[in-house]
Amino acid sequence: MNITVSEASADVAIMTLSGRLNATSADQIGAAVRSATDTGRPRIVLDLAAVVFMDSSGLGAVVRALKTARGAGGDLRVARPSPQARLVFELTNMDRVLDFFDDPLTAFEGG
Amino acid sequence: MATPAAIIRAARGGTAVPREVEERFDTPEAVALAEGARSWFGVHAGATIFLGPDGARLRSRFGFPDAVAPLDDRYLDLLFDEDGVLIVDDTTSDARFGRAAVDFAGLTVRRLALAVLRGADGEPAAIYCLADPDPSPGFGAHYRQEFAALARKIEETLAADTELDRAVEVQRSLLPTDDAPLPGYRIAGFCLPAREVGGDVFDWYPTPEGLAFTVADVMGKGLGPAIVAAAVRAVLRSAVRKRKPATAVRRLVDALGSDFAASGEFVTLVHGRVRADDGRVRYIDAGHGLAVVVPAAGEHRRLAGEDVPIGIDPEARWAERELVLAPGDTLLVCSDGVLDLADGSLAALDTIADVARRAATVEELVDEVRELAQRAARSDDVTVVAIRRDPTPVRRPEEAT
Repeated sequence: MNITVSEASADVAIMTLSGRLNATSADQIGAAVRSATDTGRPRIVLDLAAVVFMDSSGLGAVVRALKTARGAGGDLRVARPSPQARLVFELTNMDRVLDFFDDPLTAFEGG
Repeated sequence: MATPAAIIRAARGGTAVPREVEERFDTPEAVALAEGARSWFGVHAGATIFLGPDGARLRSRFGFPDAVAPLDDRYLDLLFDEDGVLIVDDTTSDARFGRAAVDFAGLTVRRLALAVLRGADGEPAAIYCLADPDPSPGFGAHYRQEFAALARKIEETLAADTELDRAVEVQRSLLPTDDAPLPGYRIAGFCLPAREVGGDVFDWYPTPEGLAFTVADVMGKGLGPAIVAAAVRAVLRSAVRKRKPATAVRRLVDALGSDFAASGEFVTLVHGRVRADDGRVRYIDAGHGLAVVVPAAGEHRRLAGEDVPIGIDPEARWAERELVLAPGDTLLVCSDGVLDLADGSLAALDTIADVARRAATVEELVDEVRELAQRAARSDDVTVVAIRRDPTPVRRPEEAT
């Protein structure tokens, strides 16, 4: 899996993930999220448009990222989950906890 | 009394070290350690050698041409004669080696360092080896200590792995074995962990009203989630005399909720109670979403829940739901690893439901699904529990009135 991090605004980090989101990539996400919250960007957008596969370990990584972001006074939003990733969110009813957005750049607009 | 060499030789007929443990020596960490030894000792070849019926298997290997090679027992005897560490600067000046270069595990060598690696039980489990066709510069007396220290370091990995084997045994021992805990129902299940141990757990046991069952999936893989999974099982079991599954789940949240909040872990689960007399099943689905009812006749249906996993939201509540198993109906509860059977899609549940319709018994059902799971490219634990209510018996004429 690959992560590229960009800044949407002073305190928002957009993480564009691609490839397979599983146990192997979970630590990578954790490190990227901690690095963002440590540098004053606790509002995080995970752009999952290019994630071809997500399993429960990948979901675990997203949930830990959510907890890290909220613990740092921010939040986490998911943009453009691929159909398979969306299924994993829906099966676990995590779509009730996480908000999905179509545009990663505006996920934090108005709140 | 068997000599250590005999113990190692006996391994050729059996399995001294499980294959999974051996394969641990080909992980990037183990290979990096081996690479470090190559430059530190300035040797051409090295390996951690396991003995089996097919010969010597070379793990963390560098410089040796073959992953599997014959190994002469004489070297093992020499090694044990030297108390488990043997260092030879040049075999051509050593009478024990016939003053000649020797074939060691497929490589012609003159410089050789060997150490016995023992498992946590203290028994010889493997041999650590450094070798070089070139005798210069020699190992030197001061390398002996360093080589022995390196061997101990590698041995630690082996011991840790042996502890992991124990964890595997413990986790397996926690799985239910009684296939008929409730008259009128049959139950079977399996768990195929992606690694040695995993975060999936299933359970069933009799209750005063009938039968309780659980399938839980603690996020993550390996030892950490496995420990949490054992705790989940234990806490749910402690509520065996409580009639409502919601009570058991509440107890679980009270017991583990703060741990989940601190660790960032969470668990999805289905915990239910089957009432013996009328087939009524009351259950909680905490973000699990992978339960299916396959009727004796007709279409199967997935039981979609609305509740989130445990450990996500401290304010969350879990609602009891109800279904009725008619005679011949089958309830299947899976973990999300089964989705790997159909490229991560819900079509996997249709596949399993088809198996359920065909299978004469729940044992047949789970055996067939297990085979499918073993063949699939799995990245996750796969767990399936099947509960089938016995079909209504056909009455014999003399019983009818």
